[in-house]
Amino acid sequence: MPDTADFVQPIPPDGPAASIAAAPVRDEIFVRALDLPTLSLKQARAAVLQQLDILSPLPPAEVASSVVLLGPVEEGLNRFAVGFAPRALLERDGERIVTLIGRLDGEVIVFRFERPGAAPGKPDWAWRLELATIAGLCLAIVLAGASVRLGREIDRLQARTDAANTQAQHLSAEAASLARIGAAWRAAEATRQAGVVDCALGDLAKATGGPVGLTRLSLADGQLRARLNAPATDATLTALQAMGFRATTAVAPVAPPPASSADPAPPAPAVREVQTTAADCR
Amino acid sequence: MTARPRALSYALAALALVAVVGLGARLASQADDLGAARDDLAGAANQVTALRAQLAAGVGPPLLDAKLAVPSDQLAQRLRGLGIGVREVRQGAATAAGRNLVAARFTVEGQADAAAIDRLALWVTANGRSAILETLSGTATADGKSDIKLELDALVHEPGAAPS
Repeated sequence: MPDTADFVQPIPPDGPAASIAAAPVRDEIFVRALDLPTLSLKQARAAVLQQLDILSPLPPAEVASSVVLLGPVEEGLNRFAVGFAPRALLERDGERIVTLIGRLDGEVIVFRFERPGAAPGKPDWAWRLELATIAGLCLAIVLAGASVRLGREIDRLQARTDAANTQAQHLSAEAASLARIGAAWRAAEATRQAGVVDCALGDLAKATGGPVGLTRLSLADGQLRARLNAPATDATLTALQAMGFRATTAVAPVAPPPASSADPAPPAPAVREVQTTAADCR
Repeated sequence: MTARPRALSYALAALALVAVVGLGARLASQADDLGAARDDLAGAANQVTALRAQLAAGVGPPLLDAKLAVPSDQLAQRLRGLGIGVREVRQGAATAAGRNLVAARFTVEGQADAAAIDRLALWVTANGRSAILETLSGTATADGKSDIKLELDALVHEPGAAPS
């Protein structure tokens, strides 16, 4: 193992080599060479970690290491530059990867240290948070657009519903009015049946046994009244009553008062007017 | 990547989270409102359809059509067809009775014999859904006929009639 070792400074933000030289040297990074019979950085890192307590000038718990392959030195051996940086230095920066420059035998070597707490292979939560924030904001924009669109759709539907409700209200009033008129019409249709005229005229002809003379005929409120031009005989009256007619006018004959209680009963009054209804006429 | 202060990152993330959650909740609420609005609209549309069907039926079929001729003239012509000598037909009050229908009261004066009166009664009975014989009075005259006066309610089709 070579015995060369250098102390270097952190790379400034703009990172030119010239500024490295100009900056004051601080013993924060320790660099040393390590010859190993491998080309694998992974194996080299494992070897360094195994011998960290020997290689590191600082306690292993307080140091982070970085390995850079320099090239072959002898047959079968390759030289690696190993940088040791105090963990406290790496934690100053919020980045996951901290790049520092070290010197080994006057040669500038760039080391990349992983920030403590962000172990290799572990997720970078800062970066993920950044991505999640961007995705969340994009999603919020999409949701806002959808919300505006949905709001317009709701307003449009509400306007249509209002119009339909107004129309339904108007039609309801019409329907209620129509229902009242319809009920009155049907009630009138049921009580004022014109068929009673045909029925009554037929029955009058049947009861009198031929054409019948009427002086007046009237139909009102479903009730038909007929005034005969001659008083109805008993037979006619009986037949009419059997057909649902009722006598309405009784004209008493002019007769002297009875002489004694032994006199016969007065004759039945002459009937000239009869009436019937659609329900009674048969 | 330029380092951003951790507090700012957290604030932005919190802001995005609040925005997403808030907008999501608003969207869910709006989706409910949309469903309710659609249901309301469907209900109102169904109601309108049912009411239109109800109104389209009207009280009954029309007996006379005002589009063809003056209703009283049409009625006079029909009554003459029944053998009634019509002297006068007057149209009285009319009540709207559904879509383009009015129930009108007609007063008719004329002369008719018993057979014509019988035919009138049968004609009104046959058109029972369109006409109602309110009153009929007849007085016999010397020539064997009768002077008659009748009041008839009839449904008249009148396009543009005021709704009931």
